[in-house]
Amino acid sequence: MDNANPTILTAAQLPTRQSKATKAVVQGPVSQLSELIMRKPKYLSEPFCDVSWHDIREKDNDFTEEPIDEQEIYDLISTISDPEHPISLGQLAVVNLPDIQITPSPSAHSDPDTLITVLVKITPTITHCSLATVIGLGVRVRLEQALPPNYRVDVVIKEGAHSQDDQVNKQLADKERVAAALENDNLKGMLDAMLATCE
Amino acid sequence: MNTFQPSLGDGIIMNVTKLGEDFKRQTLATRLATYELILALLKDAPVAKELHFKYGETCGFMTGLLDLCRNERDPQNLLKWFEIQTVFLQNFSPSKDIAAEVFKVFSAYFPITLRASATPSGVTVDDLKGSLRSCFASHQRIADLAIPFLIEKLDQGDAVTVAVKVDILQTLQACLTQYQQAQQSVVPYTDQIWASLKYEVRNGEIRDSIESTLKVIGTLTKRLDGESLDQFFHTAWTDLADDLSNPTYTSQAGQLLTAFSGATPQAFYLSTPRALSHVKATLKQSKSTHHQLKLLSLLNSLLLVRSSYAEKDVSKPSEANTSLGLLQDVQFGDVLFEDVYAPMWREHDHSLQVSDEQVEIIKKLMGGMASLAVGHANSDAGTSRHLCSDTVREKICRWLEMPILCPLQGIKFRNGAQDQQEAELRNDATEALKEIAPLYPSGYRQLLMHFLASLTKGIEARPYTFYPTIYDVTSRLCRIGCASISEGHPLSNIVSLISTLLEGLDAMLSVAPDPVFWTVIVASIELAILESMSMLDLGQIEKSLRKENTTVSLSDGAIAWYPGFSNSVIGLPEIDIGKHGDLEVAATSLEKLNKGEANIYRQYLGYCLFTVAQIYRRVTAIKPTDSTWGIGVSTDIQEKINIPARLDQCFIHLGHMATIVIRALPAEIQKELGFWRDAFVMFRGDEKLPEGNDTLWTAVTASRPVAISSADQYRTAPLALGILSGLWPSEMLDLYPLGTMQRLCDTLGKSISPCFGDATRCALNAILACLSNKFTESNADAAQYWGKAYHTAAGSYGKVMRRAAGDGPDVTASVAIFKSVLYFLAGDIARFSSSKVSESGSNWLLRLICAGAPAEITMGRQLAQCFGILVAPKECLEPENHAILKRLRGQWVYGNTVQPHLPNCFPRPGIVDERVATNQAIATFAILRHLKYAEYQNDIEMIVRVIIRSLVTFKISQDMCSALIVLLEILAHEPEQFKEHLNTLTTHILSVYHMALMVSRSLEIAGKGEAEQAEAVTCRISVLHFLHGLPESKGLESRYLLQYQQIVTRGLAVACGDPVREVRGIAIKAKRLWLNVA
Repeated sequence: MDNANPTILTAAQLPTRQSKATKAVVQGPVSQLSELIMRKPKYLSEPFCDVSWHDIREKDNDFTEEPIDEQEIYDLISTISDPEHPISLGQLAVVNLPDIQITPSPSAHSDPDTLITVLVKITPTITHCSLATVIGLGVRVRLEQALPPNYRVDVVIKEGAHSQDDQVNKQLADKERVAAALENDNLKGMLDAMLATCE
Repeated sequence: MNTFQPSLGDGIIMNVTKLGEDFKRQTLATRLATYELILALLKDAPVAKELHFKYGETCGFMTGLLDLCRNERDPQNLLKWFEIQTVFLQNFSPSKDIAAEVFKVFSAYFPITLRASATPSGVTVDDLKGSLRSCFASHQRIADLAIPFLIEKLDQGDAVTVAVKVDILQTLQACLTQYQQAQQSVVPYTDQIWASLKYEVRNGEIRDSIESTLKVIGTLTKRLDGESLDQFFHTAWTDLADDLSNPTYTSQAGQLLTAFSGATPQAFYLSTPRALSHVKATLKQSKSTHHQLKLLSLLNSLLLVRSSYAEKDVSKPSEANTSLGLLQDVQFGDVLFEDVYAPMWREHDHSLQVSDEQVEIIKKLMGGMASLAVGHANSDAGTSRHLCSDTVREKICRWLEMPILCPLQGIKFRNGAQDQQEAELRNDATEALKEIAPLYPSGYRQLLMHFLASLTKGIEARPYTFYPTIYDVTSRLCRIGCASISEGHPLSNIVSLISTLLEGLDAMLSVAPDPVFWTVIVASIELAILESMSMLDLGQIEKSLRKENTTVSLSDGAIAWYPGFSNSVIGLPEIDIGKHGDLEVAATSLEKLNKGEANIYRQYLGYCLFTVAQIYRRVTAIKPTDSTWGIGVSTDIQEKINIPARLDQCFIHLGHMATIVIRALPAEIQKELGFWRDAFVMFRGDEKLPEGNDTLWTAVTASRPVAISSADQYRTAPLALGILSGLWPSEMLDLYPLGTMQRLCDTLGKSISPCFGDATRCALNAILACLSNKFTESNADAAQYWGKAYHTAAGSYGKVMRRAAGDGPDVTASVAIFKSVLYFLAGDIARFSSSKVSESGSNWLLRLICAGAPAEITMGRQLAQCFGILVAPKECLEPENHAILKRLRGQWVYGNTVQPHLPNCFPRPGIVDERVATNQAIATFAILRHLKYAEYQNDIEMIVRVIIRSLVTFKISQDMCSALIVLLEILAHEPEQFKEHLNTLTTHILSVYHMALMVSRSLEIAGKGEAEQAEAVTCRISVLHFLHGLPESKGLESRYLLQYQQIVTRGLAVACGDPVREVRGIAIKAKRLWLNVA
């Protein structure tokens, strides 16, 4: 094991989508009974009934259009398990929100055919981590599986975070080597185990 | 063993021990039988006596047994062997050497584990641990061996795993609990145990081992008394005092101190004076918020420990005598508040910065102050039984209400705090007050009065967006006031809360121009009634009252007790006559009422009815209608309405409140009070008309049929619906002969759209469904009126169908009339076949509609879309509202409305054209989405084919949503039905996704269509749920899916870029599942 005693962040320390979390708390102790009272009566909710209903509480619209942003990328990859510890990459601070860049910047009404690049810089827990490539590969596979076809994924080691970052970056950028790695049963098994914790 | 000679026991044991080395070569079963034999002998009193007499302290027989069995490894046999040793140590008096020898044998097994075996014996490792633990705890004669042994094991440090550590601690606890003569067996080891265990908590990281250690400390303390307890505390305090002063170890020292003081009242008495003075001094000196936080946590824990003793003492007077004065009332009451909580609260009140730790400190202060306010005094039974004085309790309540009421004043509780921090503080203040309110109703009344003052000030100063804040505050007040039965009169807090809200409503009606503010308060009163009903468990009280079979029935005297409550309690507000209330006067008056269960039940219902009636009267007025007099909106409200839809919403809430109260009344009370009349006169039946001497009820019923009041364009219809929805069918018998249903059918079936709004029409439709459902054929008169109503509804449908011939109302009016007819039928078919009229006609109207409406040339589609009304859930048809619902109604509806027309969902040349087939499919899914799978399961193959066709023919709309809902239902129950259709299904379903995406984008560009946008998103979600469900379902093996893997994952890849985040989430999960199909 490269690093037997890594620093672990608690769930509260991980970045989350604050706005919704805050709103949920602001609403206070709204009980089920309150929900019952506030919902639109069924006789006004039938299809094709235009009767308006004004919710007197502050509520979020769940179906708002929101572009894929850095936090969403972080949420996708932070739950990947570390190959050595039963801990997520987010908790180990291997992936960090400020180290994710989306170009061009996310906007709600962007053209679905626009090419978008996602750059993720990973920070191994120690500079001589032998599994940095596997972690990078896991991040890459997860994002390629989860992002639409107009997204390009670049995974690199953060500057100065690894003693052999050039070599690792070269491997992660080489499509053929990545494809070959995924053909390797041992490596595939390891990646599956890492991605098993992703929701 | 009745005839067994005790002297033979020794011989048997001796002969067994002669087996020597051969014993371990015996089979497991033989050895087990031998152990059982020996155990039986040792447990037999005459044999034991004989052995004791023969061997005395030397117990020679045991020496042989120890040699014989010391190598036992089988789990089953070990359980017996451990039991033999336990029995031996407990029942015999071996010498020190023999006891040591026995100890040596069983302690060699500690800590015991169990290897996995190919042939499990059924014995678990916990059985073995428990059995071995019994050996250790068997008798105090081995205390000098067991306790040092266990301590030594514990002190091995990192060599001991967590599981072993917990085992050691549990064994030690068992020893400390079970050893008799604590002075000899426990006291000598106190220092040794403390010296070892304190580090487990001080430096421990594993929660399990810390908790086990604290339990041991508690058990140890329980076994000590007098001097030994003093001595132990003295030793412990030396360490704890230092640690309490050190921020790094404060928390751990606090845990140890709590474990000690929580053991017995004597320990509490011994420890708290020093602990309190030390904590107070440290708090004064400490500059670190972290340190302060930990010390406050300790104080709160000590308060909780104290309250647990105080509560115990109240329930057991004997314990109260023993611990009288041990609970340090003086130190914990006002003194603690003034020394610690008050200065710290003031200090943090003025601090400018608000860090998370400071928020935590304020939360701890709130929790501690709540414990102080609810604490019981114990030292002097003659004076106040509260721990704190009324002055302090009042101050605590005033401070705790600040976070809750500040938003009403438009200010923050803590300047500089983030919204989330403020919300957390509000939540904690609510929880703290929730504890205090039942025990200190006077404090709660203060809070309510301050709320009312802030509300009226706030509404004058704050903008329109103020109403969510009001609801947030009122819902907290409900939570606080309805959490549990209050001290004094059980209804005290509930009455105070509702009275305050009534005053608030009156103020809002006078000041606030927008009905949304009225709605907020009405909804809050509704919440208060619901919460209090749930807390009082009204249904249970009614059941127990019925069970008791009291000589007085529930309804007896209802006419007297309903208004009786308001007459006997002075100080209640009556907003309908402009009378203000006085909470204190009302509370004093309430105190004098009888508090028996039956009385509380009646008083509560009486008060709720009194509340509903006065709000109804406040918002309505007697007004002339077309033909007579009726109930309209009160004049002052009518003048203020700027957005009529908001007033409708307020009335809908008010109607719902009436339903909640009225439905809670047993049928006999409803009958006694004749509530059905109030659907027409809204609690004003006895009032005189503005002109003439007649009462309103006389005027309304002067001519037949009697109508729901049409004054102000039927605006009060939701109020009438509220009353009717809560009535039992048996209590509406007198209503039907008035011809109301026929009149309503007539009104709703008029060709020219009447002048009422959509919400009013919906309410009238719901009234129609309610009336047609609760109809029971009591007499020929009623049946006659029902028949008239049925034919009127049929006539309305006829008008709709004549539209194509240019002889009917316009499309909008036709669809509205058609919906009303469906509402009428919805109520009827929920109790299918119960009506003789419809039965004799074989439900001909329903059959006519199902066959004809979807085929209508000009608006068949619109009519088909309405079919869901027949079965869609409706409040007025819910069982809790006493609706008549037959058990197999779902099957009946399917068999009569869907099944016969399924073949028409496919075009057939010359018989069914494309348009009609599509309309028929729309009607089919509009109904099926509300039915259970089992109800249409028999025709599932044909339904799947209809779905596949509909995926192509339907637009992205509610119709498509309905089809997809049915599709998902089939996937959940019988996915194998899709085997034959996977190719078409996957292609079509992906097309639906793309179509829905395109619709969303075009709506986005056009910037309109919120409902259509929601439909498009719902369709996309359903599609993705379906694709997610295919590989997940057990009914479809992956070999069926493999060939569609590429096409589906390609489609899902696009869905991973969906504009809506929730949709993307489902697509990502579905794609992962499809990638794993192999």
